[in-house]
Amino acid sequence: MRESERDISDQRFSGSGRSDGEMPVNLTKSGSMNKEKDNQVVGRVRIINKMGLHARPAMQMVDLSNKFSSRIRICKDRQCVNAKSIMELLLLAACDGTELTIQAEGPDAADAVDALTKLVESKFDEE
Amino acid sequence: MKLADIVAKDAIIADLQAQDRDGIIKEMVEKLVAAGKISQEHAGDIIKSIVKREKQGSTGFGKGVAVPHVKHESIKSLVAGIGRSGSGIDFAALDRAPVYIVVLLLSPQDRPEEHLQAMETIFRHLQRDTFRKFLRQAQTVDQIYDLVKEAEEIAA
Repeated sequence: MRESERDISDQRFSGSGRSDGEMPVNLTKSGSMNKEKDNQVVGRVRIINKMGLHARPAMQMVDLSNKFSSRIRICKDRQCVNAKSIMELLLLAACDGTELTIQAEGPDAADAVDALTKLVESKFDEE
Repeated sequence: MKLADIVAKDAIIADLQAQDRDGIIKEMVEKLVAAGKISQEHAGDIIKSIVKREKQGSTGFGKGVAVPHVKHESIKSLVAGIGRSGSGIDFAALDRAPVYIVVLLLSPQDRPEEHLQAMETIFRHLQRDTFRKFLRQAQTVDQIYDLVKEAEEIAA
């Protein structure tokens, strides 16, 4: 493990964002992004890799999320989890075709939603 | 999916003998062979694949648990074993803490949804402090399997 990875590894299992409570959302059509307030962004993305959001892609999501200071949550239907926690992401059991909502709140919320959307759309470099 | 649908009682080891990650993986896969869940001829390849997967990124996701896993073409139906280590193992876990509970999961290659469901089931239970504590305190295969069978009730 590289030293730069070690710095964020403590957050990978515990996460740093809240996983309770609901953020107000106002979704636009699929795939688009909607800026709620100055610091809150919501986006939608569909899982399109065959294997779905299994451990390795989930870890990529955690690592990417940890690069942002925003609180980030990933929702499948009404179930929302902390994007900075690998164990919570695996609870989504998000298979190929699942639509996810990305909710970010913080100074870099827009960048976070954008980056996570691109990661999912890239099929996590699996195919 | 229930935990008892996934875990084979004959593949539970109450007191793991190996002291390192690769040794634990080998010990648990061999137990699955002895339980008749996988064939001897594929055991070597399965061990290699799981170790390779761990090297890409540890499945020791923290809290003293690890879930090494692989999708393998020889696996017809999903199966898991549970191993308990009294002394703790270095699994290169994300929180760098020793691992005491290992759930080794083997999934068929062509049914990704089943694999995701199994991982969800395993982590839904492993996330709970009481479930992990009871597993660590269990001394025998019977005690561990009782916990597996009662997992859904313990959750309630």
